[in-house]
Parts: sequence; structure tokens; C-alpha cells
Amino acid sequence: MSSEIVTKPLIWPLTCPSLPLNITLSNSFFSHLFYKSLGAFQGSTSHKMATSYFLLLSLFLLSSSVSHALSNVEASFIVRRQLLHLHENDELSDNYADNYETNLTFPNPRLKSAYIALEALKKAIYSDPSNFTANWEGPNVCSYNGVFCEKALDDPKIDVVAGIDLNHADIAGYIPPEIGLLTDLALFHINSNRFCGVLPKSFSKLKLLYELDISNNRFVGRFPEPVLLIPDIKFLDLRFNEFEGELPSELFNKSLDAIFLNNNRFTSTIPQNMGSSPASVMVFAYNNLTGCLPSSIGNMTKTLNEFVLINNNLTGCLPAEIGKLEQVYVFDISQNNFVGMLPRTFDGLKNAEHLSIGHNKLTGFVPRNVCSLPNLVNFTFSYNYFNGEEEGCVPPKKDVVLDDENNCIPNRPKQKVADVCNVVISKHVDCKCGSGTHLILPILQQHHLAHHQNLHLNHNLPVLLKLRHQSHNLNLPLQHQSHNPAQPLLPQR
Amino acid sequence: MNFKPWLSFLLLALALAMVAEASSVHHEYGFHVNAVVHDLIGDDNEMLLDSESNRRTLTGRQRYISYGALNANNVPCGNRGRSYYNCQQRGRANPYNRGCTKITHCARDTS
Repeated sequence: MSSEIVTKPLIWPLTCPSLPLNITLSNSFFSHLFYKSLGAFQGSTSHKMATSYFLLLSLFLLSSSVSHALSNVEASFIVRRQLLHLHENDELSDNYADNYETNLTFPNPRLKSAYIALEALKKAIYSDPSNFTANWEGPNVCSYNGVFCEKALDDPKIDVVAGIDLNHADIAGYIPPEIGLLTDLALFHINSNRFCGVLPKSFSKLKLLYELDISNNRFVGRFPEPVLLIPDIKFLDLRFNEFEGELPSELFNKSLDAIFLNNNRFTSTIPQNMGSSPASVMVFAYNNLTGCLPSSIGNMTKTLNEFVLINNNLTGCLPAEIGKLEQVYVFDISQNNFVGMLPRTFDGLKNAEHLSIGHNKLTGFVPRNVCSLPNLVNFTFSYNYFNGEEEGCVPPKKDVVLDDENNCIPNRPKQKVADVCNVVISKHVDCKCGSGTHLILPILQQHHLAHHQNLHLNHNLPVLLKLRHQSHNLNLPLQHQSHNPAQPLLPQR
Repeated sequence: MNFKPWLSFLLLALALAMVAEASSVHHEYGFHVNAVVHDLIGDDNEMLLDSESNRRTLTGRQRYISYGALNANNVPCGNRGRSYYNCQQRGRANPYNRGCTKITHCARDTS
């Protein structure tokens, strides 16, 4: 039976059994279309074109009007497989393993359950180019590649399957519901494979699972909620897949230490209870998250070490509670749409090494006490609308890489032109969450408002106005006012 | 039908995909690179050359698991079967053994 899989795969890697059952494709027809798409992809270096071709392929597969007859061999194989194994969305009954008939004998019932799970997983594999699962035969599952047995935690006399590690095996397939029979599993690592579909509900039966790494695969659908039912999961890695939709708030109530969600298609606001999480690292980069950064982030003061939010669509102002993150050493919120001032509380990031707030719409002054953080290695605040930087924030600086390019800072090279700056700086800052249009107020009125809201902004506007009308001043050297840093950088006239 | 020639074709296409993706990644990082993407895997890291070309000396912690996670192939521990929280343990892999509780501190010890 296994030789049939190897010599004549019925479904190509891009398909997935979660597709509607009424789709039937002959092998030769589909492979022709697949190679045609690959040919087009080969001729182009554009990743976008490749994506569009795969999309076209998916649309074709989803078209219920197209059908082709299976050969007799193919049809009988599918029928046998369906009779022998659970469908992807089927529930796993409690006594499923007991009712499973096999001539093989196993040292203990749990290894029989593991055998059933691994056999189902092997049958769910469409492509194994490195023959990683070639030795997945027979009752000795502890000798299978990537399968790691250990004495059971609750019975030191018996061996059980404690870990599955298929990282970098380049296997294409899906995860069958029988996987839920691996109830002694502590780690499940399948980074850099081509597994597709969704995680089966039976994943919630893996009560000992500690590390789940399904990163760099082709999983789809909404956040895999069976994961939230695993009681003591600590390491969750979903990055580089096609997950979409909302981040469930329950995620941040779990005792997770590591949350990697980057490079997916998540679209939602970040749940307000984000700060309830005890995680030491959170990476949400390269998604489509919107709204504000929750102020509850300040609750992670004793736990959060690394926080990366690069390239999302977050808006609003930065919460002052960020300054409570004493243990953070990587804080990267670059490539978003944050507005407003940099909170003075940022000097609370005592252990910060890498601070990156570049490519946002922040205004105001870059405060000296942030640039003087004791462990700072790199502080990137380029591509914003900062219109001043205090003493100690001017690059180059010994021991710290500072980047202030493409702002609105007087007398600094590589800044935005004045007209571009004035459009943003003259706007009323809208701290509200969600995308809102910014009101443009007359400059004089803004001047009056700024006087009450923030002393520094009050001083900056006249300087900018002077610069606009006295271009010859642009060549004046930068003058430091050591007695009162809040004063304008240029002498009053 | 003999599939072997097509397998070679498929591998070639995948190699091209990897090159295309690498080009795309470099394009995305047109701005100043904030940090070095470290190689958190042992010898079997397929992106080793790319990681090396970006490597440079940093004071402070040499490895940030968060920036490492921006590279699809990276995993915190290249030793198959070991917990990501116990990468340095010698001897046979035991998935139940974990040497630390915060991955941000564990990862630093990955060789």
C-alpha cells in the first residue's frame, strides 16, 4: 500500500483534503496544470506573480463545475483510505485505539496508539523527497526518524512517544486527527515543511504538549483554537503560514513564554488583554494588525524581553506604559502608523539594546534620556516627523548607532522638505485607535493648543516658521543650549 | 509515467523560488537594517550564507530570538528531538527535559 503512495501520488502537494469532497481530478490533468504554472513562475522573478499563479490554481480547484473521472485504482485507493482512517474534521473517539485492528503487537497500549497516529500521518503525506519517513514501518515506532521516545512521566516503566521533530524535512501533507492519540507528546516540531490545511480539533487532546512549532508551512484558516485548550503549552510558533482573522484574547490568558505569529495574514486589533501574557518574547511582525498598541503592555514589566511588531498597520499614540518594560532589550515597532510624541517614560526601558521606532508618523522632540539609556546599542528613529532632537541624540555617538534620517530636524542632513513636514506637524494629533482622518487646524490655533498640551511643541513651531522664511539660516551651525534644553535650537531673533 | 525528471524540475523551481524570495526580502529591507538576523540553527541551516552575509559584531547579547524568527527556516535549536529549552544537553535527546524557563535566555546558549 505504501508503495502505491510513493510511485503514484494521487494529489499534488498544493492540494489539501480539506477541500470539498466533490472535487475529483485526474492525476494527469492536474499535473499538467501544475507544471504549466511552475513554468510561468520559473520565468519570472516576481514573487507576486507566483502568488497570483497559485491563487489561480486554487480558484480552479475550488470550482465545483469542473470534474474528471478517477481511474479505478485511484478511486478504490481513496475509498480504502477513507474507510480506514478518520477524515480531517472527524472527532477522535475515546476508544478509537482499542477498536483499531492490527496484527502487530506493541509493548504497551500507548505505543499502539502512537503507531496508529504515525501511520495516519504517513498516509497523509503526499511528498517526502528526502525519504525522511522511509523507515516508518512496523511496530517499533521509537526507531522511526524524527520520533523520540522516553519513559512516561506517569509510569517510569514504559516507553512512550515524547517528541516528534520533523524540522526541515520538506514533507508535504496534512495533519490527520489521529495525531490526538499522541497523548504523551511534549514537543511537536515541523518547521520548514509543506503541511497544509488546518490543525485538527484533536490537537486539544495533547495535554502534555509544551512546544508547538508548525512554522514555515502552508497552514490556513483562522487562529488554530485547539491550541488554546492545551493546558501547559509554553512555546507557540505559527510564523510563516497563511493564518488569517483575529487574534483570540484567550491567547494572552495562557501561560505562554514564546508567541511567534509573524508573517501571516492576521487582521484585527491586538486584544486589550495582551499584557496579561507572561511571554518573554512576542513577534507579531508582517501581519495586518490595526488599532492601537494596548496600554496593558505595561503589565509585562517583569517578563517581556523581546517585542517585535514590524510592518503592521497600528495607529494611535504610543502608550506611556511602555516605559514600565524594564526587562525589554529588543523593542521594535517600526513600519507602522503611530502618531504623537515619544513618551517621556521611554527612559524606563533600562535594559533596552535595540530600539526601533522608524517609519512611523511620530512628532516632537527625541528626548535625551532615551538616547542615554545605559545598554543602548541601536536606536533607529528615522522616517518620522520628529522636529527636534535633544543633546545626546545627534548621531554619530560613541557606542550607540543612532539613525535620525528623513525627519524634520533643523540643521540635520537628509531630512524631509519643509512643506512635507508642515503638513503633518500642523495637524492635531489624533491618539484615537483605528484609522481616522486628521483634522488640519490653522497654525495659529494649533500654536495656542500646543501651548497647553506640550511645552516642547510650543517652542518648535516658531522655529519652523522662521526657517521657512529665512532660508539662509539653514547654514547656521547647530548651537547647544546646555542650560535649558527645551529652548529652540536656534537663537531667538 | 516517469516522475523523476519532473522532480528535478520541481527542485529547480523551488530553488528559484528561494532566490526570488531572498531578493524580495532584501528589497523589503531597503531601509537601515535594525539588527542582524542570527543563525540559530546548526549545520543544517539552509539560509546560512544569507545569515553570514548579514552578520556583524554587536556588543551586548549576540542573539535575539525575535529577529531570528524573521527568517523562515530558523529554529531555536538545530538538534533534532531536543526541547528548544534544553538545546545544550549532551547525550540522547529527551523531550521532557528542559533546562530553562525563558526562551529568550535559552536561545542565547544555542551554538
